Amino acid sequence: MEVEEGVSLSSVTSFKVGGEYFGFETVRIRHILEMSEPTKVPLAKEYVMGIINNHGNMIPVIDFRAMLGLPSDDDLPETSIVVVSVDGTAESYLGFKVDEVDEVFDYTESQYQADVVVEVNRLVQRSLQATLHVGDKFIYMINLDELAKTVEE
Amino acid sequence: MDQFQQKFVEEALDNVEKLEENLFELESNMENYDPELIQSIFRSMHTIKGSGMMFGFDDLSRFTHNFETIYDLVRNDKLKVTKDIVDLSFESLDYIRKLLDIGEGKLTDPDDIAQLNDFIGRITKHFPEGTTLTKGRAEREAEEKAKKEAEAAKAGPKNYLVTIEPMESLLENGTNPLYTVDDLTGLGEWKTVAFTDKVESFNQFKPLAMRINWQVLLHTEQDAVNDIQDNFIFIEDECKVDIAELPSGDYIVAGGEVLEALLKTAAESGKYLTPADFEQFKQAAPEQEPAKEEAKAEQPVQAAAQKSEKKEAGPKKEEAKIATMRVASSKIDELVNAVSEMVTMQAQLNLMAEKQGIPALSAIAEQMEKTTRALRENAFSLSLIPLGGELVRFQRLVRDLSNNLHKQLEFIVEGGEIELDKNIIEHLTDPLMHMIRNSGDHGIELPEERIAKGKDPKGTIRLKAFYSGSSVIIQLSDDGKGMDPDKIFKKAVEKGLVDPNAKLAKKEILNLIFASGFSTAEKVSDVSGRGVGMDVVKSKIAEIRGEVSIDSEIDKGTTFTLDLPLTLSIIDGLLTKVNGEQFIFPLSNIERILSPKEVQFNHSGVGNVFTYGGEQIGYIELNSMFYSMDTLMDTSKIIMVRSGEKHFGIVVDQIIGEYQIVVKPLGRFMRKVDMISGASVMGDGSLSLVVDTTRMVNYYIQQRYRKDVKEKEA
Repeated sequence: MEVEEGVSLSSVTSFKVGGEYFGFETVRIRHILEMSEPTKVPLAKEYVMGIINNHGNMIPVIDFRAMLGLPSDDDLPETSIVVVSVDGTAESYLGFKVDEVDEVFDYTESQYQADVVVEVNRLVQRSLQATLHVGDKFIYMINLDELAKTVEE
Repeated sequence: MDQFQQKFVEEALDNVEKLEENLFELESNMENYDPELIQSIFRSMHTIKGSGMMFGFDDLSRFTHNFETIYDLVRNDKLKVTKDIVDLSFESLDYIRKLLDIGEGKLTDPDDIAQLNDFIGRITKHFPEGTTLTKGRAEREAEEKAKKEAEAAKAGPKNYLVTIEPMESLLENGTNPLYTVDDLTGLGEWKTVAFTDKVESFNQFKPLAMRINWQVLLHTEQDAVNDIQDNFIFIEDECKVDIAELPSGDYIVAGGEVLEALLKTAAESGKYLTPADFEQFKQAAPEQEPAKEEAKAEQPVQAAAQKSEKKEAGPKKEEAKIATMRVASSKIDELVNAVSEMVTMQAQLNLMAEKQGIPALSAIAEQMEKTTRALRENAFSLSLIPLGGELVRFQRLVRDLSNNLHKQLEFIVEGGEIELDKNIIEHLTDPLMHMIRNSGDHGIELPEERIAKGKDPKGTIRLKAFYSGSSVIIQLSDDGKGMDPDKIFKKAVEKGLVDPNAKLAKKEILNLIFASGFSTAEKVSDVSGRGVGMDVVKSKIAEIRGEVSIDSEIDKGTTFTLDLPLTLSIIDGLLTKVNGEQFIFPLSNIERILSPKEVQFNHSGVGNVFTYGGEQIGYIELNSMFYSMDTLMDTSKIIMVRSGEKHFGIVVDQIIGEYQIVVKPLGRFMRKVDMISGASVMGDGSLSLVVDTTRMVNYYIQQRYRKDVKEKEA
């Protein structure tokens, strides 16, 4: 099976948004934080909820639901902010509000399928890279670099 | 380049800088210089040479060796300091910088090598007749490099007698001379003699005084003088080393009883062995090298013959140096960051202590606050560096300008001790460089011209720095021909920068030179006038939240004034609220604050304009711009800011008060929202956004422009 570049076969952290599972490469993740209300930044994109302060770093928080085009939902105790670093520096910290963080696991080649999603939502679809089949779950792997580009534009 | 080489380059550059300073001093007084100055020059060069050799910068080392020789000759009164020599020295410094720049430190391009040899030739030309020893060696080294392989084949095994006389103070620095001796014996077959006759008897024994001398007999497979010298590189100031070559032969390995006896006598008598003692082995050794006429022979290679003179000055200097140390600037950034955060948390602690009303907690919070404040001041002072350090470069620039432009220029610095945030200084160098260049190129006239005007033929460029409130002012002035407002206006009209019918005040006209695409150079010289001129200067200064203004009188000169903040990370800000969110305006950007009652709003629908003090002033309402709410409240205030020469009003819902805040950048993903320059954590843990007023006004103007275009199209 062909494996696309950019996704190494290694550890993945999965999370749940709107009943679907998504995954980031674990190496990119810096923090998983409890949900706290971000400070709004005017004129930012509609899915940018604002910024939060984490150890003196200002981290923009993206509403993953909004990026998927889903309506917003009440925050629950499981609601979390997954903070990733796109290029390894604190300058590129980016937080995602997700419904629930699922699990961290290593995946094998046999679980890996190239992206089969026909249409999710234009914002996120660009960044989908592959699907992982784990147990009875399908996990959409997100290519962070692509997603970051969308946010940055 | 590995990290050690990196470190070497950094240190060497420091030394070059110091050399440059010293050379300026020398140049200013060539007749009657302080001998210590020459010592200092020599020392810096020697360090570059020595460590250069260690880190594989062979070419650099060879070059510096010759350069150093000049100052060795000067030091020994065999050469007089002349302008030629100083010029050559400055040029040599540039060349050393270039050599430091090449990756692995070795020249590969034959042209480059030829250039190096030419340069060395130019240096050695200055060596007076009769300095054959030094000259001979210098030449030999040059050839050595070229014929390395040939010679390596010819060289064959060698014998050396190394005499080591450490200074008494050697042990005080924690140096263990035995390691050095041990390393030496790693070079080949060896025999050592320790001379312990100077060691006191047990009663008077001083454990910290180094009293033992050594002689090491070495038999190496090839020429090893450099290797031997390298061994002493760290202790060369505290140790007298003499390396003598002995007759060839393998008697060190197979010397037998005769050699043992010789060593024993030496140790017992306390008399050093000399090359002559080994003459007897010359005959005894059956297989002789034919290449004996190489005549490197008995002459002791003077590795450190002059070291003894250096001794007196040496140790004292060393102690003084430890007073400062080198730290990676990223570490300081991290420290400042951590401290900033601590300041914020401290504020939260104070708030908490106040709420809880527990006396013990309040007491601790108060104590903590004192410490935190001291820590903060300390941490921030770490990132401040004196302006003077950068100014040497400008001194150099002015010197080169005088030579290139055939003008007489003098550069005077006042207030070089003024300290600024290193980030500010980094951003300041280029603009200042550009302005100084401009002053030298366009400002100061040629000497004849100046005499005709009744001025001193020597033109002055003066840089003056001083504190003013919470900012640092840097004034750069020249006493040149000044700027003609009429000329500037004409030029600006030509370039389409201004309406020919516009009536502008003199100051406004002068400010046109900061407009993009404006350059007054009548012809493009390699010094300045490439069209990227003062506009770049202005935007560079704006990047560090500074401002630049200009004043000029025809035939009297031009003065640029830079108004800079002390530090980038802490600002005085005005906290405001808009729709419940907190926004901070840097105090330095605020002209005044008005109540809406004090102005007359224009409701005719031509746009957001009010009249105040007879002036029509554009304004934005933040709550309508950010949140599409159009309400003026009782508490609303108008913050007046300046955008270029015009005033502009920004309406906020409420003003809370003045705060000292630490600005944190928002990072890569918020760069699009450029009117928010950062955020700050408030005492209660909430965040407020810091407004960049210039960008905010520009954004608004652009947006309105776009709206206008759209309406026209519709």
